[in-house]
Amino acid sequence: MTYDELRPRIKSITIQPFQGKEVKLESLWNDRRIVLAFLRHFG
Amino acid sequence: MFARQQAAALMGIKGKLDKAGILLVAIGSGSPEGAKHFMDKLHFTGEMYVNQDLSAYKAFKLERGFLQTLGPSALIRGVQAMRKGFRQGLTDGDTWQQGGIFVIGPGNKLIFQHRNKFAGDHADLDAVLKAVLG
Repeated sequence: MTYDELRPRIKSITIQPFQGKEVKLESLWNDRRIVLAFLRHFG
Repeated sequence: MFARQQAAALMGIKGKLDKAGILLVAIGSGSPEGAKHFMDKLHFTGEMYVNQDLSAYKAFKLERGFLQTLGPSALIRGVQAMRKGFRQGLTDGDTWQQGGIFVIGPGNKLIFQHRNKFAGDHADLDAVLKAVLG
């Protein structure tokens, strides 16, 4: 998957911190590099 | 159990990520309370978010399904994880959803992508570090 393919898919997605208000997914890496790990269920 | 294993492995490379100025972010499919409990129990010190409607998982085209969760490959990895001391606790989140790891940013740079084909099919973290530090 290229970023051009990803961009329209994430455009409207928000995620919730474990405490606090929702943030736009894309804002996580707008101005920095991150390692983004999707976990299976907690437990 | 696999989330615990993955989180523990990620904490093993966090020092190198910190030195390189790279933020470690995790997204789970459970509740915010479950995320907090998970972080406390696993001593996970990255940023943690939840995505209970799985929209972010879908956007990144991550696997989800019965076979991916309970098929032979997943069961073998489960036994291997248990031999390493990981145990399944009370679950919070989507049972069938698989995970993955991406190195992304700043902006529109998608540098590394790994989608778990089945439960326990985690990314090679040496490859993640190579992508990060590249």
